Amino acid sequence: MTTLLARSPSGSAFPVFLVFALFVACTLFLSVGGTRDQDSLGEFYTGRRRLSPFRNGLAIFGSYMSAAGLLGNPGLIALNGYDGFPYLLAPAVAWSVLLLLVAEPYHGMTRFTVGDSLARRLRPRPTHLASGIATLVISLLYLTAQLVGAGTLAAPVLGIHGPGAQRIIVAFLGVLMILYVIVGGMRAATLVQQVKAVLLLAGGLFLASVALSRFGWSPAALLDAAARHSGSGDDYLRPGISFGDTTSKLDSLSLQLAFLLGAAGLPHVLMRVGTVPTGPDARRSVQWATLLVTSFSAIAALLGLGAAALLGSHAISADSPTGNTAVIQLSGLLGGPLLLTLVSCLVFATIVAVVAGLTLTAAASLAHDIYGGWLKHGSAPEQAELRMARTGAVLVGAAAIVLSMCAQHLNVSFLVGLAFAIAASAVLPTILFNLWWKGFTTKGAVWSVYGGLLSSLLLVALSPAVSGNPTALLPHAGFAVFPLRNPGIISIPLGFLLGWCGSALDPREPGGANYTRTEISVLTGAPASRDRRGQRPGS
Amino acid sequence: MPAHDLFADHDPPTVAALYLSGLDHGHSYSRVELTWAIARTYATVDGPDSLLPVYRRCLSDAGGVGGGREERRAWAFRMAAGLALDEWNATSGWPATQGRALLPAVPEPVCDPVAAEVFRPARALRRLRAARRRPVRVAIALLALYLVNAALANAAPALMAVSLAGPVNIGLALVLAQLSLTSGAVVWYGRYAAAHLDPLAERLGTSFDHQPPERPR
Repeated sequence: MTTLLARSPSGSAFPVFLVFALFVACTLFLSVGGTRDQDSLGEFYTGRRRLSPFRNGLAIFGSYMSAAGLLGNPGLIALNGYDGFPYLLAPAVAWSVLLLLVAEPYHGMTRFTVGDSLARRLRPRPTHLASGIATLVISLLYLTAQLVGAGTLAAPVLGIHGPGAQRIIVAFLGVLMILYVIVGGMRAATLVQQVKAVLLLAGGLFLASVALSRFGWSPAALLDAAARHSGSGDDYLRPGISFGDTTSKLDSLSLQLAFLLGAAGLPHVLMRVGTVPTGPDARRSVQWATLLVTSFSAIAALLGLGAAALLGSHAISADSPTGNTAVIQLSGLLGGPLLLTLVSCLVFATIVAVVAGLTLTAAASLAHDIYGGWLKHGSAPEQAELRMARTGAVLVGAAAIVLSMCAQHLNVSFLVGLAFAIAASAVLPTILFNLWWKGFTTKGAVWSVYGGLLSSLLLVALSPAVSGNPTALLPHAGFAVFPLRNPGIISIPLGFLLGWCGSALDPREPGGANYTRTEISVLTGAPASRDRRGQRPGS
Repeated sequence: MPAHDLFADHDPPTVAALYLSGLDHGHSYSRVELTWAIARTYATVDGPDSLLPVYRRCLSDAGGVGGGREERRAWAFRMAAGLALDEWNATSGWPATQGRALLPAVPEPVCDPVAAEVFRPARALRRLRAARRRPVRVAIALLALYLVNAALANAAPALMAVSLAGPVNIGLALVLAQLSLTSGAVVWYGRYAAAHLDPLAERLGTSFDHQPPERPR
């Protein structure tokens, strides 16, 4: 950390906090001022489905692009060169898959949550419960990852050290996100995400341009300089400098697979798909989001290369071994304390926007899927569910704060990778099968969700990330039977396989659950039915 | 045979059931085929009570093409008269459940008004299905390209390191290709959907608001 602190003035904590507090106050004020009728579920969960496609695309991008995208990916590229690129590309590809296969049909099938889309066609109670639990686990893991990430940035950004300072940051951001969600629901989350998306794109573009301008606007010169200063020469731009043995290769493939498919199954992103009025609008907003994600990937690549070229990998890894602070260092180098302050605010805004969306999604799965759909058989009064959703936001937020304080020393990218692996193995198979496969049944959905979820968690529990080595969660225990840190390569195929097996072996719905209505809805993008609870009458 | 007036309210259920059935109004059918088609229409809409509202909406749906509708209604009347089943009530005593295997193959009944409007819903659905297949292929191709890239980087790093122009090697070129192909696919799909999917979907989907409720299981 010393290099960075030497560069940033000691008083930088105050401007960062001040600017960030201004951002928070403005967005909160706007979101509260803009909402009149806060007491309907549609308002709370989806802002009444009246967003324009471009603005929703912006918000989707804002809710998806986390601190890992702004800091983690450029850092990875700065330190590992070519080997960082796949992690950048995977989400872009995942987003195009989401656009081509999921966005429009999903919009027609869902009301608020993933469980709603399954319950349209399958038996509502078991599918609501299963997808509610999966959503909750994914969101909690991802929330914890974001908050832990925010905590680790406390020292370099604010210049405060020690676990106490990290806890303060975590608690501050956690309380903030709960506040946003309870007060403003989806509207407030949308606003924060939009503002953050614009700031992120503008800030990223500016930083990347300044970095590129140092090399006469020539990408080739930038690449050459990055390779020269990386310490690994020409190998920097070739695959292989981060490769170890076969296990680590498999591990990286597993993580790539999780990113490749998981980004298309993240519940908080899918929930945003439902915030526009029609299917074509859903398509257009995901189109915008995909283009933004793709362009931001290019920006992140430039930032990573720029950091390698201008700072050199020694300075980067001396400050943070994973390269997480490369972008912050770069901004300090290029623009001095002012830019450093602005980029730090950007990081916090990024985190707040993502965690607000995540908290809302987790609260919705708790109140709508588990409480409304499963416990109350879909007959809970709207006001009761709304109260439950607000309580849920507090519960989830509090749980995430406590978890991230306990997990402060855990590797952030491990948690993010795990959340993506679960999304890819427990959520994506059911969504794809439900929309596109005639033979899908309730049993298939339940097997796939629980199978993907439990196998991921079990494999991680048996992995070297949890036990068996000094950097593990439980360094003194030794039950690491599974060699990989990310379970995706096993659990994702397993999720798909279980969905197929369960459907083939379901005696209650031989040949698949009724697909006629679903297929028409999938093909035309028209809402499948208009029942209040997203359930079929009489079932 | 001008037995029907302008108002569909007075049409007997049999006529309505035939109108909404999957049969083609350009043909004549045997007695067994007709009664079986009627029974299946009833089965889909939960009996005559919910049949008539659907039928009325079908006929009164504003903005649709008028010609085929009257023609089909007249055909339904002709067929029903031939059957002399006007007073027949399908909810009691129809033997279809016992003799199902012996009955002829009759197309699925068409109970949603739009489908009845188009008369050959299966064909429109087939066209949509076919049109939807292309984006699926594109998505699979994008995923495959990514996996091939990943496999090559792991299995043949030497190949990926072959220099193309200055610092750009095959590996970096593939990264750029994937990035631009992905953005290209996004833009392409927007245009493709607007040109090929939306018009078809609109024809099939506009009157989903007045679909009969799905049957309880």
